Amino acid sequence: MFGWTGKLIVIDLSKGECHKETLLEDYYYQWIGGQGLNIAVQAGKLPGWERLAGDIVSIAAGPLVGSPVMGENVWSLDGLHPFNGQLTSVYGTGNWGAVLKFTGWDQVILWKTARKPCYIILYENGCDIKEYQENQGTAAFFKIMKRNFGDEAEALVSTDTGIVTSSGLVSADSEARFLLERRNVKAVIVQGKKGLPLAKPKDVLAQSSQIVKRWKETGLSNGSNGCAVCHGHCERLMLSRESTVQNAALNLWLATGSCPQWISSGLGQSVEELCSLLECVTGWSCTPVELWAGAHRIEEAKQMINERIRRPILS
Amino acid sequence: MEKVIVVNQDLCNGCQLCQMGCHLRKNDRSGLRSSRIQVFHLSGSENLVQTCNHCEEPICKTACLMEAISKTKKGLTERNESACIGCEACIAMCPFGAAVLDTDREVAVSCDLCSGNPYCVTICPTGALQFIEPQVEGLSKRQLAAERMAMAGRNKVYQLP
Repeated sequence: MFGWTGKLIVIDLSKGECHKETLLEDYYYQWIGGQGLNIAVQAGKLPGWERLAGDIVSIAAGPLVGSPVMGENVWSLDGLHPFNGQLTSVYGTGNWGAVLKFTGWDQVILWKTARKPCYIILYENGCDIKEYQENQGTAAFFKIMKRNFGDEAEALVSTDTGIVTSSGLVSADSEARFLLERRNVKAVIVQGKKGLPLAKPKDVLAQSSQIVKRWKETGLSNGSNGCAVCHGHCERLMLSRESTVQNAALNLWLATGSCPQWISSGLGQSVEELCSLLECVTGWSCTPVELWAGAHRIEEAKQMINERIRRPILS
Repeated sequence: MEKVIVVNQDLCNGCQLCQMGCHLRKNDRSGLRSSRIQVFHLSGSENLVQTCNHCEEPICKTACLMEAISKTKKGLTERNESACIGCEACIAMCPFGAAVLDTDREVAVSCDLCSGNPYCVTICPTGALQFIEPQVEGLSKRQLAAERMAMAGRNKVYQLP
């Protein structure tokens, strides 16, 4: 399998145990990746793990995440909101998603709730859950992390302002904090010591340089109105709930791992380009129609989850 | 030396595209660890990019017991990977942190300028990486320093009572 590690990790926070699950490529193809993988688990579509539906928070990266393509660095965090019970989706940038894959996982599923505030360290073959010191500052946390796990290590840390990594604020959406802290999880550390095989490395390099060239020719004059080529410090992150962004399109971008701000700036990859990139990275030969069908499948699953949540309240 | 990679640290936004691109080009796999250009996130939005400077008298060459490192006529620091035993002496000695261990092959590697067309420079979206002649870079730095001195002098004149 190219562009994927083919594995996900389910962490039982209450017992401090973790379970590995290997996945078939068909499953990835069906749900595209990123947010699609998260929604699939929430909808009870993960084979053998149907019981997880509705009781988890999961983080996943898209198929293009981990490849050196501009704007393809988005990770998605999905779960049921602790206050209103609605399905809540949050995304962030930075390179945490790529490092998650370089650690050896495509998705992290947090199941049940930890007894005390904790942070999770993901390894190639499992994980550790450690108690989080509440009085520890974020800067100190990153310093200790880099000292213990090396410079490639990266962490998602839940703070009052949103989710931060060592490169700064990567998701200004406060919902992310609620989703993680409801489970008593303060941070997730990934280590990124492995590499990720891609289907056609030379074609990825060629396409990537073309995209950067296009950005240089047109993007820099776009100023603050367009994408600021942030890769982690986007000032437009709060626009993630922008009403003009159609749901299916947003699903598609978040599933592939594309930054919605980058795409909506008009300089990002078109759906045809996404198909071409997917072929180079994963080896999938999919058409735009198939990609859109995947995006609609995710939307339908979301609606099904929301229906299922509403039903007990109405009855 | 004809051309070198010059890093403008102020322009780097820490996207690590150069690091991932270099890793993919040299190892045929995407990753970060064995990349020959390394980006470090410092405090706040500051970043530090490290790659081989191709020093005139490289200390890594002195440190290498296997004599796997040499200088070419063009001034490039070259590595004979088949002679490298992965002892990491060059990695420890390099003051710029430019040499890294390729964990797949257990050999030390550093930037070889991609045969005169460095991919990291091509892929850098902010222009923080440039592939230019060292004389040009030296000249631009001297010009900048001269401009600063001239401005400082002019300000002093204005500040006089």
